Amino acid sequence: MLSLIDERYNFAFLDEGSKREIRRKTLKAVAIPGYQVPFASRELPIARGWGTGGLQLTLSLIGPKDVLKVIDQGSDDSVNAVSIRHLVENTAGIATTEETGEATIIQTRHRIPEQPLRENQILVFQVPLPEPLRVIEPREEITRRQHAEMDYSSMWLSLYEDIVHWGVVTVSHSYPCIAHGRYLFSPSPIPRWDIPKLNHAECLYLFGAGREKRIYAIPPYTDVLPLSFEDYPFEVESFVGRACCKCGSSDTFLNEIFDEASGQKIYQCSDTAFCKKRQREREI
Amino acid sequence: MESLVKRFHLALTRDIDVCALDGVSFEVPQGCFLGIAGPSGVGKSTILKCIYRTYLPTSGHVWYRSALFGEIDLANASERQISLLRAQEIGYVSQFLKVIPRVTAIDVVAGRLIPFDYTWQQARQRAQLLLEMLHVPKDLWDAYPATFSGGEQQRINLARGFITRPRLLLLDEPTASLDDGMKQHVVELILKMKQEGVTMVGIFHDQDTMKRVADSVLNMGDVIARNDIAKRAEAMS
Amino acid sequence: MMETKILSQQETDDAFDEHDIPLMKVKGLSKRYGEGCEKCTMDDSISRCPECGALWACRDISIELYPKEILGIVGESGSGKSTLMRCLYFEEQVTHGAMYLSIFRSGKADLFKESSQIQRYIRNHMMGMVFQNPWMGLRMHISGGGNIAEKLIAADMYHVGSIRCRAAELWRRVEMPLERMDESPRNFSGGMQQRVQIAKALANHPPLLFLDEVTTGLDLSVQAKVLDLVRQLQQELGVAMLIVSHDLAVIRMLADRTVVMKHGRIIEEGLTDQILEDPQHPYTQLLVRSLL
Repeated sequence: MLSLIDERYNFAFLDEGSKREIRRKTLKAVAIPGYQVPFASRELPIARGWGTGGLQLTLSLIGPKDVLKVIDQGSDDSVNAVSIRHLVENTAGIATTEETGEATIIQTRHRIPEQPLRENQILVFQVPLPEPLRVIEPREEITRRQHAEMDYSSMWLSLYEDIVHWGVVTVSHSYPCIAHGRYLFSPSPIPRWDIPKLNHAECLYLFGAGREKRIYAIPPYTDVLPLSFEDYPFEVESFVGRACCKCGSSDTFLNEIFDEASGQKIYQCSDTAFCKKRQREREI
Repeated sequence: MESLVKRFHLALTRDIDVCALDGVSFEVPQGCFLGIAGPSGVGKSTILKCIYRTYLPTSGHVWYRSALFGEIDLANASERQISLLRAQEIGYVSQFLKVIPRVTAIDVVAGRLIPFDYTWQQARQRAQLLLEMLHVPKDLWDAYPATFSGGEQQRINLARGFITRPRLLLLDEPTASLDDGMKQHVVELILKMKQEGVTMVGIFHDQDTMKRVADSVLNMGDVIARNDIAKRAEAMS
Repeated sequence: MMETKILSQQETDDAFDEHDIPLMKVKGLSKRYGEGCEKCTMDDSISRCPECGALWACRDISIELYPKEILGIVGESGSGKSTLMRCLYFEEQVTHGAMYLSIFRSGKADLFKESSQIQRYIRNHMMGMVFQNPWMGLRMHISGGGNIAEKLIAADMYHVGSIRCRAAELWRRVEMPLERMDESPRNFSGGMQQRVQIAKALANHPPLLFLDEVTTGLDLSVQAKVLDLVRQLQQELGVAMLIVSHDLAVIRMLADRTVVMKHGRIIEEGLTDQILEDPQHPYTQLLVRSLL
């Protein structure tokens, strides 16, 4: 395994100074749950907007004994996940895995694994737009003031307008949440299904936005509540009457797939590692 | 009222000083009616406006025993105090009706009771009674007073002044545009209010009405003459 | 009416304070744009300092507003009246001065010294504002009802049904057609936009309302209707109001007391009928004569 390391690079690609910068900002982020901490985002061999924020967090966090898992929308096999995994393997030479339970650090895009995470695990999110208020207010100057004053009425109002026009809140991903009763934050484009997993989790959640140069965090056992009106409670996606065509699960987040052979819609677990595990368990 | 002086200083095209009142003094016991008489332009209305503070007295005092603040000098009281006194115990009925446009006659009258925590319904009931007493035709109650005849407006004005049962009521020619029959009703109302203990200072252009309601009369012509004599005496000594 | 026992002015003041506490007190408010210098406040007749060029939009303004009272602020454009109102609504930072509300910490806390978070709380729970320009007071990309909802949400109302209900109640109260509640205010006429602003400002029952040139720019007949609405609401709800206008006719119709401003200073204040019938300052005399 060690022979694979490209010795021309520092361990885990980033220089130690950059790692220290990112770790310091990460500590600050953990200390103020949900608060977006600006950091000096580095250049990486992948383009900004392709997971550089998450990758910088991962690279500054891993040590030789860590086991890394990388997923993209629940899948370990997508191109982006594979490339990132290779980059880490080549520059740090650490072990990687597809098993959620084995990983110490999991870098993810748009999903939280189905298997509950433990206290010794860190989930690193790749975040395209860290500012939840950006969709309503384009000016950074104003959104910063809104956070400072805890003035989130404009976000509430957009949910209200949604309900008035459509009868429901139509936000499907990046559902705005409040961390520790204080800061509004974007959970990154995860589906609503994953939102309840943020509340009082055993693991540490870190969010990195490379292009936007922001880090924020949800420490273990933190209150995370999605914004919801008293008479319109927050609801996750419903898959009632549907099950994964591969493992038969009916309690996971399912992707809708068009099956060309039968010409019908079929459903499949979004979390491929979890699906495989279920399949194995079923065979035994 | 103690040696009240009112001077208007106008500084528009050139500075002009107009002395409207020069050292007027009088007293009105509670529950009495003081009439103010004299030729026009002598400052009768100015006295009332100084008491009501529509005019700011230049010097002198207007001592008034108020229910709200006890003895108070209206010439020097704060605007807030005057506001409260006007809302609760000092009424003013002028020759002309000055009301907010687009408010019905009955609400013009009833509105006076709102600061006394009346509901609009209760206030309108009281207003109806008074409008009936003043013989304001029923079909006018819900119309806008701006369109009324002089006599009708005058009666709305009186109803407005009477409805709160003020402790002090200032009347500036309240019967000027009323016919004799109507004057009779107004005089009766004034006498009734006097019986109830309302103190009044009033100007009437006709002497008969004045004689019927006034307990004493301040003749402005005499006041001016007296002041002139006093001044001349001062100048001579 | 002469009496033997006469209370001193001081004593009457005390008696009066017991019963009647101002809702809002402003003391020595000044607002300067620019650096300022030592000679800045020397000349009363100009608002721009000839030495350093600083603009004094408001200088040493002290006012009191009592519960349920309407105080008018009149003056020509540039006299500082709108700046004053923006300062009181915490939209501008004052240079000097203090502001107290009797309903906030027993009137002991200077609101200008509070954090912007506290100021926001006060604005959302105790104040309403109607701007001259509806684009300042309304969000045009959001429905009219949503605009009212915003104020209710800001005052901690998180029940869609109750918000809808209250918004509809206000909507009807300002005589807006209910079927247009979910429409953007962009589609409304100027008078209607002012009505929506008024509904929004009153949404959370504030004891204090600021009105900045609410009828300026409207047709005369529309002006009259908006003014009628303001007057009716004031009588109905007993809200204390601060009304800024360059138009004495508006002030005459609404205000109990009036303050006249020029060059950022208060040059005269008094009962509105006194200001109109016996103005003391030459400028006020000119203003009143222009009205007639």
